Amino acid sequence: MVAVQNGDLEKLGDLFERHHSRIYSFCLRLTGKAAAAEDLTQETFLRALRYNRTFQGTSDFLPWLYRVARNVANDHFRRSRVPEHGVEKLPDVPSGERPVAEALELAEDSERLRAALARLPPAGREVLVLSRFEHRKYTEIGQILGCSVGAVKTRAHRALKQLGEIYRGLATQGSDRAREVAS
Amino acid sequence: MKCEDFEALLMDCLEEGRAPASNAEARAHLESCEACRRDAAELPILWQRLPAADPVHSAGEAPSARMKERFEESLQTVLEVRELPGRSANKPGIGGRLIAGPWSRALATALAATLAIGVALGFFLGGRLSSNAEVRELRAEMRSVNEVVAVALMSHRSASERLRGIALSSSNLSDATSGGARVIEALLERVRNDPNDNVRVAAVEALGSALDLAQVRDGLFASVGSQESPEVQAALLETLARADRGAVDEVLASGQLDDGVRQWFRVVVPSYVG
Repeated sequence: MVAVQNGDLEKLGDLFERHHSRIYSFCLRLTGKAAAAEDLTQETFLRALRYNRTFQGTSDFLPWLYRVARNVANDHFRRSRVPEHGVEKLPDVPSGERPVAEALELAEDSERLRAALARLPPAGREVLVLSRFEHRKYTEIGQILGCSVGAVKTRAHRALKQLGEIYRGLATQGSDRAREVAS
Repeated sequence: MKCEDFEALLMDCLEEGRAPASNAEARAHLESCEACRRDAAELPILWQRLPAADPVHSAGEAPSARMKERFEESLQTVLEVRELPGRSANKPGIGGRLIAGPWSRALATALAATLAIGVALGFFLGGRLSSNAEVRELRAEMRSVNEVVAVALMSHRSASERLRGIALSSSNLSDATSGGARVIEALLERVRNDPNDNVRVAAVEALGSALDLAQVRDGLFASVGSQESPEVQAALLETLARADRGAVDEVLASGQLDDGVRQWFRVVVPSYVG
């Protein structure tokens, strides 16, 4: 990246070669759509070229690149006005009803959990994606999101709770449909 | 221990793979707080099960081979548009790439017209081109055709063709005072209304070489307020700062810009605007 900053802009091709798979996976995890993830990956590297002066040579390159990718994804969500997966209205579920632990015992829980994750607002999804799928530590996530480690933990906790609520709503919807079919 | 302290501890434990109940203060808090007890029971299960919900496992890890080709094409186009250092001397210039690349109908027609004009002028003028005035006249004709091609490409439905039009327009901007009015208006139109942010940014950067014209400065300043994309806003600020830093400071103070762009500009731009 330092070579790019020094004017050797074609070195961006090398950076793309080395990091595009990782950034693509990150974008795919944020959007859930392969075509959108490809567009965002390409845009991330072009934006990295445009904003190369904002990279400080003393810091790690990867968190900086994640940060650019995250901003590109946020612009994408902002432009499309709704999260990539859309937000489906879920039934209100009393918090004490059907514990998540019990619902997660079901065989279809992974699919339902994936659907719940897709319905999570982007700000919550990104922190869980970075931590659980990209295996970034809270300190690194703080660099990527531009906030303190404490704020990362607060956001992750809130996102996880919200994920549980969405998951519970989907599980209840599934049970109601099963009852309708049975009757 | 307060609830927020327990939440932070719980998230630390999840990251490090240990149980919060091993902490005496946490145990005491859990005895008296039902909400945190529920979190302590549910959130670790969700946390553990999350990797099974990874969208990458279901959609496939690898991007298509076409993505890399598209990136390389875009990178080359951006380098040509910006005319920044770093281009290899042995790589084809914009003209070579236009000829080598897929021909749009407008481009093919315009290039054919260029050739025809050249042949016709050569035929009629014969050996009389030694006169400077005639050489200038021929160049003017060629430039005029060049302008037509650039303007035509800038209204093409494909964003990459519009980028090519912008790249082609840069040679006309150096003569903006004499004949580039159409090109300038077409570039300003791209800045104001193009649906693609990359095209808008390229048009802003191209107009950066004609900041001595009031029409260009006024047009760019007028478009700042209507830009939603932080990237376009940043490009406008960066370019306009070279023309009138004071006016840019007024724009920064007006509150019509993205917060991230304002911060970025304050940190980065003074270091090279001087």
